[in-house]
Amino acid sequence: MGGQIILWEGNVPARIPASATSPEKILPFANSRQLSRRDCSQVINAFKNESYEMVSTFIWSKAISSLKAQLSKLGTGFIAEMLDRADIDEEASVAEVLTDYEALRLAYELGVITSTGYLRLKHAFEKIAHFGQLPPEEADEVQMSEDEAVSVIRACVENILGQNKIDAAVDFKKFRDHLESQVFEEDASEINLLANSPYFFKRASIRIVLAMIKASGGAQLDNGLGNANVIIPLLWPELLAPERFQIGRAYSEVVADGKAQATSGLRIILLKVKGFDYVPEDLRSRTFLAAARKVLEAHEGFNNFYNEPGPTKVLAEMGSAIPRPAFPLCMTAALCVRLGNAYGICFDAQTHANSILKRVSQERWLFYLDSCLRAEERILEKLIIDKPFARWISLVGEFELGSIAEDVKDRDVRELVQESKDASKLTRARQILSRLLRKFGYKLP
Amino acid sequence: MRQKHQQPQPDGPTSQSVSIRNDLANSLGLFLKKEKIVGRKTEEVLTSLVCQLVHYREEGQQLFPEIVLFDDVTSVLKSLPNSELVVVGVGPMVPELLKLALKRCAPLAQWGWSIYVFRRGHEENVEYGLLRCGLTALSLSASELLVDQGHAALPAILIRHVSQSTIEVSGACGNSLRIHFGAVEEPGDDPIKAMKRFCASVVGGVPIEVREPLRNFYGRLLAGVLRSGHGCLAAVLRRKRPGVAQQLKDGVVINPALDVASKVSSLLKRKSCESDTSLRAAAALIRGMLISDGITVFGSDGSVRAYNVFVKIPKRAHGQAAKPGGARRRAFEVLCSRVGRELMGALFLSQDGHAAFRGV
Repeated sequence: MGGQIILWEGNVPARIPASATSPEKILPFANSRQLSRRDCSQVINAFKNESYEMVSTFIWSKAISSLKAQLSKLGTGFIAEMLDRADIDEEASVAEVLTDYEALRLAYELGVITSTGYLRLKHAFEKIAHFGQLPPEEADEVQMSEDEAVSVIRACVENILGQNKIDAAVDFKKFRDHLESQVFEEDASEINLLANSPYFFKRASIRIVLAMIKASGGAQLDNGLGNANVIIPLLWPELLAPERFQIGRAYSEVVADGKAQATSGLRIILLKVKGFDYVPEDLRSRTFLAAARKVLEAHEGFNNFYNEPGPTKVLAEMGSAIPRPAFPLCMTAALCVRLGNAYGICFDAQTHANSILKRVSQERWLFYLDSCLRAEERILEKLIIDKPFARWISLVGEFELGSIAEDVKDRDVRELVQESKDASKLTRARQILSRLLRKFGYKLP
Repeated sequence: MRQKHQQPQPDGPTSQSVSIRNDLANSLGLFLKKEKIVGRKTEEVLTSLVCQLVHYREEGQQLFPEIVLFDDVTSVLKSLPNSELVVVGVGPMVPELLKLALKRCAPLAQWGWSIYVFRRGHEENVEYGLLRCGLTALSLSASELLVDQGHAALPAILIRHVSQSTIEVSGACGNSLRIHFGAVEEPGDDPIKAMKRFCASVVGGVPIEVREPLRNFYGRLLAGVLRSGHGCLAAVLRRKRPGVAQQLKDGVVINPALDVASKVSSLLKRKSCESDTSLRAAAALIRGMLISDGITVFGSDGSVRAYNVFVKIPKRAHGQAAKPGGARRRAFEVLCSRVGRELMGALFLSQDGHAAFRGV
């Protein structure tokens, strides 16, 4: 796999000179339709009064609202499929159901922002979330610094508020339109490109066709099924478990909704790839998926350290027999709590997260490492940061993942785990992590 | 020694016995070959099963179970999301065992359950029981998934009534065999096709995202009515506004109309128990209306506007010969004359499986 071929690239961020290090110098780059002159002058005044958290939170809420408003135009069904969130109701308001983290992830996947922009915005969000949840006595002592506030403002203006129009990348839209309007031949240049792209694009393509199959009718549905019939069998051998389960779930959903044409198309594809093992047998997995999503919602939202224990306890008490289709997300949720973020961990949720992880069999650890971790950006992104990476090292030791990793087929994942068991080889582990992220599709700075 | 051939006496009494069994066995043999389900025992068992099924009664009541036959139970179950299987018995593949299977399972094979027959070890023996799948009133059934949506990679056969005295044997490879046990082969349109055209007419004005599930919902409802030996007469109004055309007011007008499309839409969006119960309840009502006397009137928005409706049948002109058929057939002729004016379509299903659809 080349790993360098890119089907669509994030929109170029607003160019703000490196010398612009204050709101007075950064805010002129904001688009007046997104941030009014009045807003700008209020931000500058508040900044002068050293209300850094207030300023950062205000700018962040402006940026994320603007981003969510634009994403909502893509349709709830499409967004739900792109995020693999079957729980999002068609009638739901995107602004309400989409967490800030998910909005950023989706924006990145659709090329609204670049990977660098995504990482900067994510760090900005974590910063705001951290300072926002400090208890009053601690908040007085540990305040957000000027530099930290400037970095939040810069990330928001550069990637969102400075844009004339927030929209998906042109190449992404073209690709999606083609998937809707024509059926690609197996040897079409777009299909060849896709076959040689990083995993990120393959996953996005699968999600686009599934969204089309579930939502459209008539010619669009015909084309969606035709393209799914080309793309899914082509990518199936390298698709990881979460994507395979997503296809299985899509089949189960169209059957339940009585959509005969979509069912017939997906059924033929699943027969072709022998993929019926990934169709959920019953509703049990949905309950686990919903519980795991609650944990992630708490972890990725504001006040995460206060909100994590409740849903993590619920997930831990649901029993050790996690159904296979829900296992990847449940593991990710438990690992997110265990690894925490750049600012720490939620101590009260650790007992519950550990109780989930302790009940995971060796065979299931192997399955997660081999068939999920490579494309689990939530975890991989955490490992870039020092503190979560240090906790990862201790987790690898505690659960003896080094010996399990001997059977992992993917070389990078195997080496990442094995190098992580020895605290003295951290540089090597970080190199492997970078390689994994690049292969997935990140353009690391 | 040469045997003397006995010539029948031209005018003497004769005694003859005729059976369709051989013809049926031959046809089923060819059908099974095309469906890649082979085996002498299966041919024999299937022939016997079809003959038993056609007028199968328990406690004096005729039953209409669907029977699915397949070879690979693991793959079948994997391909049926949210499925359940109840094993009832196992035994050698002989007609007597299938007779017992029918006896034990037919009364249970309703409300979405089908009888399954799983051939184990190349006809060595069979396992039988009951099978269902699906979550809601809209979900595709096990037989729809295995046969109507079937594929040669997963061979399966479905045996079911099309009407009271017609059995259809269809397979995952797309072949079908219709066996008529009535006095004559049923004239008119193919009942399944007529129903499909009628359902398309009922959902013609429904938003596209609801159209296919609603069409399947009505298809299943009408197939149930036909299979259970009831006739029915139904019409689709052309106009979009609420109410019923003047000519169709002699009956029970449902006001406000039963908005089935919104129930389907609600179930698709919310996937809640309440929406499902509401749709199932509507299905029960509509079924009752369809088997009532008179015409059931639908809107092209998928709603039910009236039932038990009667139309005036014009008097025969002096000297004009009577048209064949009963009152229902004559009422259908009247509806046909209105198709293109106030009606989009009209469907006629007789008790014995005669069917006709007229639509624009």
